[in-house]
Amino acid sequence: MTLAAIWIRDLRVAMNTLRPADDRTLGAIADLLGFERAAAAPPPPPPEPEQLPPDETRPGDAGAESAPVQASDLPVTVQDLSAIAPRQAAGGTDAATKPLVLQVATPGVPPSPVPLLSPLAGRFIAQELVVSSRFGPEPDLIRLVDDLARYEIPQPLPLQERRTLARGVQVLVDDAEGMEPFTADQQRMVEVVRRLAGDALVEVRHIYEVPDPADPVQPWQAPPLGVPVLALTDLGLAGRVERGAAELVAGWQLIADTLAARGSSLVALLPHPPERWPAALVACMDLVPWDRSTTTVRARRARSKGPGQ
Amino acid sequence: MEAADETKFAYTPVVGEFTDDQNLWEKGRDQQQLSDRRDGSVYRMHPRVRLAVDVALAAGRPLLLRGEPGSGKSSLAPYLARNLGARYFEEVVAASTRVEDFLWQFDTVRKLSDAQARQPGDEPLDDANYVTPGILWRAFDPDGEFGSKDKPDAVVLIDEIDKADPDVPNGLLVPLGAGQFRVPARDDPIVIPDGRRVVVVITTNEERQLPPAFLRRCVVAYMPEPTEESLTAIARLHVGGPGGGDESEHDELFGVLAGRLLELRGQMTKRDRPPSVAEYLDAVRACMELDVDPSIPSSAWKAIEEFTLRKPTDVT
Repeated sequence: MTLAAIWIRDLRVAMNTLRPADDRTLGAIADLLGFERAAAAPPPPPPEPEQLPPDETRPGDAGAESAPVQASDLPVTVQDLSAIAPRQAAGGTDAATKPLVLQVATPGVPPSPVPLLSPLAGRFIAQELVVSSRFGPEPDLIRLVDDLARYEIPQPLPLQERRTLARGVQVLVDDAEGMEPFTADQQRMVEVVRRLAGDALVEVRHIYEVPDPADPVQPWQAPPLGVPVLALTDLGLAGRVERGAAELVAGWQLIADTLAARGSSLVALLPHPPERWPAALVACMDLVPWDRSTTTVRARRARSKGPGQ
Repeated sequence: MEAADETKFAYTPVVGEFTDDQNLWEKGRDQQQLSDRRDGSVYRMHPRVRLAVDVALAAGRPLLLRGEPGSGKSSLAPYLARNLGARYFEEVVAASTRVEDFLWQFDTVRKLSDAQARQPGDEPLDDANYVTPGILWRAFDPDGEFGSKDKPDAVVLIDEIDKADPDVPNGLLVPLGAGQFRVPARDDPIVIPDGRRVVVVITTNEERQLPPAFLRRCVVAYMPEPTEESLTAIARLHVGGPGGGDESEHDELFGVLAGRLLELRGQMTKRDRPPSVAEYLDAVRACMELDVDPSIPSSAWKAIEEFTLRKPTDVT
């Protein structure tokens, strides 16, 4: 069952059970289930034709795991509610005669211009980029005890792995000229990360071309040990850079090494295709394309393979 | 937050009438269980929250309550459980909470102990003996082990889900949506038996955004902003109990404190944590116990206001 079908089913069941007697109650029930009133007339235009790639289903989306989300599913406009609203309205309201035009509220969808990432997928992609794995300090007791129960000595000691955002994240926003067209996307991504991890756990640092601890205006400081770093940068690929290409690569390599030594991952979202990525940087940090072809699965793969893969 | 329009909605409710329990309230009072009590004895339910409860029951969806800390989100669940005659389970979420904590836990210590007592050649240990049920398992109770023979229905409170990593709400989609989940070393899934109602109440303080897929599967209600009228009515109920009536000898105190709380809320900046119902009740109790009149400036009142209504947000 698609998400839209789930909403409609819930609305239908609620209406049939509660039998709202006036328009206010009917609207409140729909609102509680995630619907909102659409513009009275004309009905809202259909959303831009868009179909997420087949691997872009939502995590844990029961009943819809194998079904791609169609543009026709979201938002949903319900115009036939008069059929399920009670015909005999108490108090002489117009709930029985006027169809209530509703649509599914779509929270968190940023305004135009068209963002680099699909609004639906952006949150999940961001999550893949900033989540970190934590091994231990707790041992993986189930595996450990299983080994001991079989008279086997676990070697090495198995530690529990957890994917977590509890460490927080440092977001590097590149203010260089080459990123000017993507300023709105950078802001969107920062906002998404803030909502995901919580304001208190997100540190946003502005950089110019490359994080520079000696920069007199925007000195970069490494985050606390183990805190992942997400860079929203073009790594100077736009060409309009003050530093030379070799200097930029060396600068990013230094940052990647510094972070690796501190147990922090470094992943960069790049609004340029992989063919243009500097090989030296591919080898030392996770790079993820920042465009409509990016999916959660692709982001996860880039992270799980690690640098240089 | 919703505007506090207290006009009732017109519909056929799933639950006929919610009632307060005088005896339970008195028992709690005698045991000094006055603050943050979870006995479900009394609750003043805004009509919109009442409608949300009925919609959640009708649609069979979890009820997600959003709103400020102290606005009465968590205390709704035990009140609901008592009124439905249902068993009650709760789990307060922390950053370290995992999805499995709601479903089952594995008793590794006991298995290790048993393993040490084994001799080579003994039968291998059965993992099923070391799995202990979490709150959703107890609430679903497919085997009738957790009180469902006497009280089939259950209310589950998952408190402050926004404290958890995003994987937790995502991992709860199937257990909450389909009413079933699997357990290691057990062939049959844990399923809600036919005819049993399991009502899940989830609260969030919105420190983190919840996944859209999770929100879609919940009936989402905002706790309404307090008004002078609602605060006074709540104070009457909590101080005088259900039998206290529509008026109280302390109404003047309740009104002054309600006015002060609303005044402070109006002065708060966006970053401040505004005082809510819980802080109001603390101030009411403090003034009553210490015999302090908030309408007369005094050092005692100043201190009570500082301790209860004006809590600093930058405490580290």
